Amino acid sequence: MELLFITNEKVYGDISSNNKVILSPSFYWIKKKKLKLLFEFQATDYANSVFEGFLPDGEFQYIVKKSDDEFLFLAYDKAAILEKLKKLGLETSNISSLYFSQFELKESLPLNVDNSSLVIIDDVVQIISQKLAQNDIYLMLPSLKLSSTNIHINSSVKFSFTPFLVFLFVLFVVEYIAVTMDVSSIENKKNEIKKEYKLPTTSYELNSILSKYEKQDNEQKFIREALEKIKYKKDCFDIKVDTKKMLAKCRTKDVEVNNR
Amino acid sequence: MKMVDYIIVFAILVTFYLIHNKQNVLVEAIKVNNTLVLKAKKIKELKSRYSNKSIINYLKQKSNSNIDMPNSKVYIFEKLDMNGLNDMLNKVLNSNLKLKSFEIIKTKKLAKLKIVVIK
Repeated sequence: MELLFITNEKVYGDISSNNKVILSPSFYWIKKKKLKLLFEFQATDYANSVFEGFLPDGEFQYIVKKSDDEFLFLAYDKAAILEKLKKLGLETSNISSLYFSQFELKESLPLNVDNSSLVIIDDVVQIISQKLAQNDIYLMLPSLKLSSTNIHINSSVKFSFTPFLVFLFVLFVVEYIAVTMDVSSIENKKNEIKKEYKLPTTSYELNSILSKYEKQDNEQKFIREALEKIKYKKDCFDIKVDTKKMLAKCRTKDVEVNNR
Repeated sequence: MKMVDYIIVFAILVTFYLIHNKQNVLVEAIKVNNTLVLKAKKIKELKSRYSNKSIINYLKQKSNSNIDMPNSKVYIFEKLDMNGLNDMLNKVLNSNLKLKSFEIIKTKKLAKLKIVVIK
């Protein structure tokens, strides 16, 4: 990632595919104002009126910084800046973010910019057409530490769905393999059960065996229940019970019925 | 999204469909296995519920006569008093004999009991 310094006429630094750009004071406007406010966000609401009648036509955005008892208002036209950079050979797609000389170079001034100089006057960074400094902007740029006050243009880290999708796909494949293994393990278990209980191979045969034993059980239950019911009947003298029916001859108190 | 992303999404959907099908197979297999175990246990239990082994010698000793048939054995008990009849019936009731039929013929004080047991 390259760090560039840009004036109205020239790009200082080597343009790469991904650049951070420090704008010279000719790209923005600065005003200082004393306001009886505590916070920067409160002052932002006044930015429009601070610059009223002062700015050319355009869509302006504002940055407000508080220093001691004063507020520093910075106005910039993002579209106009990008247009100007395009004319200087810097495509928008190659810019990651824009920085302002006011916030980035203030501590390093004065600096030579070809035959001009960047100086600080009344706490505001300005460019004057005189070579005043000993240091050159070229030499200073590589060691410059940037602040967090910038305009975000393009992210250097492009979000891609691919790794996430690949991860999801791998997860699904693993799940598929796990389920397949479970199925084969269950199949093995089934064979083990058949071996352990010496079961036939088909479910038809198994059901047939089961129904044979269930029938036998029902018959045995029937014959025992019949036996249980009849054993204390003193008046019954001829009793026949098998697995399906029970016949009993019994006496009643009715003589007529007994004699039949 | 890039072309490769669409291809991966398609692959994910196909895999998801396959997993869904496999899971259904798994659930069915588990159900079949559970049923198989239940049936096997039931068969084992029913198979062992009736056996003539424990009481058959007792019947042989106590009976007045026994007849051997191809699939069954007949035990005849004659001149049993009512207590003897009840004892024998209780014995049979609480046993795991494979009963085919039984017959009781009572006179005033004595009874004749015929038990047919499946071999």
